[in-house]
Amino acid sequence: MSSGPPPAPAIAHYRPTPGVYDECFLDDGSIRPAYETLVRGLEGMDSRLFHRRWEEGLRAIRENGLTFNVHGDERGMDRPFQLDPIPFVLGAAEWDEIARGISQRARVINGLLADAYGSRSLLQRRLIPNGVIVGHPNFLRPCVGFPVPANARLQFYAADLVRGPDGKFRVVADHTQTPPGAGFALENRIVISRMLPETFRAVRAERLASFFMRMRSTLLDLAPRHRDNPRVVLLTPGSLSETYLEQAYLAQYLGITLAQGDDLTVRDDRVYLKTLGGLEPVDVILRRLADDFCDPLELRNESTIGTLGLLGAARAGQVTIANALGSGVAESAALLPYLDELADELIGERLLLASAECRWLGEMADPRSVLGDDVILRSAYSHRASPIDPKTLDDAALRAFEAELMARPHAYVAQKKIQPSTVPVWQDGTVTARPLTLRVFAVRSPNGYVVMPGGLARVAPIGTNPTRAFAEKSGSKDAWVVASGAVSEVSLLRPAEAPLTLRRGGIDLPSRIADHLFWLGRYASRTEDIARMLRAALQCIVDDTDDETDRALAPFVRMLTGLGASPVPENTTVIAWLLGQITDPTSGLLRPLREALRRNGSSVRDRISSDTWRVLLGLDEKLSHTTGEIDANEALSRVNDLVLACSALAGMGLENMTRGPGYLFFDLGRRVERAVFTADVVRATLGDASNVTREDLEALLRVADSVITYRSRYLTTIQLAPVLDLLVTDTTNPRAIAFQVVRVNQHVTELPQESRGALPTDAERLAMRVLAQVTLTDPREFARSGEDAPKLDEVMKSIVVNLEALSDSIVTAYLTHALPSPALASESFGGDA
Amino acid sequence: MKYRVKHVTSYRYEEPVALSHNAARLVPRTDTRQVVTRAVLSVEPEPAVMHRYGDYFGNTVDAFVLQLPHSALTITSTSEIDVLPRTAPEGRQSPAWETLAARDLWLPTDVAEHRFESPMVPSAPELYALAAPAFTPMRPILEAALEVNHTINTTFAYDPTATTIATPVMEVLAKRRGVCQDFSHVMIGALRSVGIPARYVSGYLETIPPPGQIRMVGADASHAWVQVYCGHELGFVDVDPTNDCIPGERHITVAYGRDFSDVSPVKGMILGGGRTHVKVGVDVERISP
Repeated sequence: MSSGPPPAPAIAHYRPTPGVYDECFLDDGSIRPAYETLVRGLEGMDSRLFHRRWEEGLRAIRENGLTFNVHGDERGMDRPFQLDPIPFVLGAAEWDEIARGISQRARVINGLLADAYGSRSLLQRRLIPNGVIVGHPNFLRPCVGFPVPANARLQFYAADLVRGPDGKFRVVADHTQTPPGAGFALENRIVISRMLPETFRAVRAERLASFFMRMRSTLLDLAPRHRDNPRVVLLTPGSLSETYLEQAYLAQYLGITLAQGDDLTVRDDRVYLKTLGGLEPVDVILRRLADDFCDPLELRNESTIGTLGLLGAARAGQVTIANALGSGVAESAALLPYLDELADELIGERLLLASAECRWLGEMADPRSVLGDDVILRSAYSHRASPIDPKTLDDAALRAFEAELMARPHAYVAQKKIQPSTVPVWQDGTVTARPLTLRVFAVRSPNGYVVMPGGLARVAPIGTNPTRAFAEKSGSKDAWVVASGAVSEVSLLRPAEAPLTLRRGGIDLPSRIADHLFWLGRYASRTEDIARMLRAALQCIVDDTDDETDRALAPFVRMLTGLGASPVPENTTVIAWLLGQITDPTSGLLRPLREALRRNGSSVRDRISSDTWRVLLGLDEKLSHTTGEIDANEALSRVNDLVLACSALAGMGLENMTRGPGYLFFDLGRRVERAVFTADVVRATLGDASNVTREDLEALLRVADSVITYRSRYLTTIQLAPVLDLLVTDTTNPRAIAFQVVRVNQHVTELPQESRGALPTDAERLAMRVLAQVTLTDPREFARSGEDAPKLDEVMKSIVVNLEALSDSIVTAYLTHALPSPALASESFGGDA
Repeated sequence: MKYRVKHVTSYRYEEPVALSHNAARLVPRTDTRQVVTRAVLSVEPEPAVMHRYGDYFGNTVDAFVLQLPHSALTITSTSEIDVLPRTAPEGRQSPAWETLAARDLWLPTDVAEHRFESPMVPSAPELYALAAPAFTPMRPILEAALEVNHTINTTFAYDPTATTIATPVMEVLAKRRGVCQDFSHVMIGALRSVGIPARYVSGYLETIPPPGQIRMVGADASHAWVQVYCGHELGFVDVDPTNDCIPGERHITVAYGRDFSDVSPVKGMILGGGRTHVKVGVDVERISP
């Protein structure tokens, strides 16, 4: 990133902005007590050590894949989550006030939700204007009146806090449906506590693990059935979600299954996870899907990421969804002005933690009158919409906005601007002041809401909206809360619960995951094979203008076009065309594979080991490095890297995956693809074997990485039959078709089946057919000419056809019920039929 | 007036449907102007799960799930309704519209919620422009509403080919054509734009007119109209922009909600099915005067 190690954070040189509350320094320039230990620790740290550990931390973040995806970001969906190495520190007393305030606020909001989805007496008694609740687009009417366990709709809660110049923290936003960020907070903690272990201990910061243990027990306690061993899933919108990797990380840490809407199905009012072994009942759903997307039947029709009938199952009491559907209505900024009164009404207390000063415009005769005040205008209903600062609008924009306010005043809240406090942030070697938002998390427990001692400290670039979930370019910090008593040492690795029943295998592998693993296997194998082919071709280049080079490349041209490359254009040299296969993002053979690998890889993130994920990221990086103008030498070194990265992935599959269904599908994908590839290449190179040259055979041996094996058997004489034996019929050569087909036959018999009948399955039958076909092939027969001699190209083609049929039958038998998303059947209405 | 209604919805699928979740709102409401004496819903093939419950607005919902592969589905609703005689309220009986439109006016929740945007009825300056001329100072609300009703009836063309269920209101406004559902949405949007609560009614019209009376538009199928809030005394009053009238004894109410999306007569989501063919038949028969 940067050249030469910049100095370690020299906080001594940090200068907060005058008149702004700074978290680290007092106005007189002295360090606040909570920060003293940290500042001493950082300043006493050797600069090189700091940098080495920071680099390690950055690598850990990249490798964990804890990144966030900003929709529409052309640079790709995985942009590293920016972590700042200087933690945010809060003293014990100050934290205690926040924690009590948050816990209380969660109780109030839970009471509010119970009322909004129950008797709605708060509206009838005019404590909240009607519009705040029933005018909210996410007030889910189908959820009114149906009971939830313990009448608790709010199991998880988060709030965004900003500290103003008066030193008081205020809540600027509540997160009540799918509070995001706890996974990021955990990740930040793991990285920073490893980077500054001495300082972390010296500060005596509270640990986070007990909070996640609490989260887990809360989820288990919500199960309406199977109380001894309930199944909990984290319902994710999918890998395109901007916090998908955080969700995968959280699911893995909590030990629950990550599922998409179409991994679940509702039968007889119960929710099931679709697995390879059949339907497995689901008892609790931790959702990260927005309220209205959860059920296309009763909520938003056009949702393709929900589960059909989910609301009905919840209504029938067969599954508990956390947070309860409809809870999003409580995160409305329009509630902020009323919450203090509500606290008094609902729990007989005043709010310990004030909200930002707000006014809902829905009842104002002329809402334009707020535009002259020192306010920002926020959406009453969504945290995603950027607030508007009327002072920044030009005349035309202001007039348009005034018209909008007059037409839809209920959709806006005017919030008095807050000058947020600043924290020191390390950026490009210097320490600068940046505004802070602190997100704190709470989880419901039998004894009230428990608050995570820490949180996600976010630093936004100056002038941006601090309420936006994960605004572009915003960074984050680990938040340290100084312990008031002894620091409790707990880890989630061994939850203190009843011992689990020992299990082997993973029959509950979601079908969708198996699908992605199968295709990941196929694409990974194809990437490797094409990279090897390009490497073999590049190695033939002796001199750009050499006729010999052209001759040597001729078989490769046939192979590559046989695999789908467009023919060499008239005015292009073969070498330039070859380089284009590597670098061209649209017509090159290599580049489209990256997308497929990314798509399938990111979808199985929670099912593969960190090491395998690291290898996949490495492969992705290698593939991303294949653009631009390069010469043959450069190209050779790049495809070499690529081949190595592919081999590492194959090795990972072999060594690191348990031999469960996941491995079977991954390896089936690889084997089928390699056999198809080899058959295609043999056919493209040799055709009907009537006109075979020495160059053709040599090229084939090199593509199949079998030159050394060949020479050890036959020395330097190259003939058709022994080459074909090595590539097609040899069951000992890991590149031969026969080798793949033997393994495919083993795998298909091991695939899970609900009941084993007397007859082989379609997949088994097809696998046996290909095996017979390959085994009965006599390579010597192709060398003789004559009417009755078998045609090589036809045999190869038939092998490919049978293998693709096998692939289809696997997909049909095991994977297709993961595929279709529900369609709106029709609605009969309107005028004449 | 006593009616028997038979409403048959049949689906034919070109490929088998593996799973089908449905919610039907086909049982008419019982309220101050009609009494439902019989309501039977039959579904063929037989559903694995079937529940009847009241929704948020008090409409009757029949929810059912088919879990076995099937290539046809028929939903038959048969009901008998006694529509009580009544006299339509006069426009001038209603309070001045301003007394109901103030933003800080407190209204009961079940009235207030019909003032806001809803999934199929957004707010838009075009809707306000449609309503504004009728809302002259201190005009009785029902009188103003009936003028909007008339404006829509006379300036929009009834054209079943112009729109589908999914056509947005803004497109209907631009085209100035559509069916009862579209006119109702336009009307609701216009009334809400001046601050008046308005809701959507799905129902039926008598199919064969009594001798000497004309056959109304929208019979033989589900019909839709609007209810406009006319103050505490009158409550919600029915107005039918498609027929430019205040509904009387020939209108049968099935369900009401904020807009069509709350009251869709049959809403189904399926897995599989390929191309789907739908046939709907409604027969409203007068069984006694």
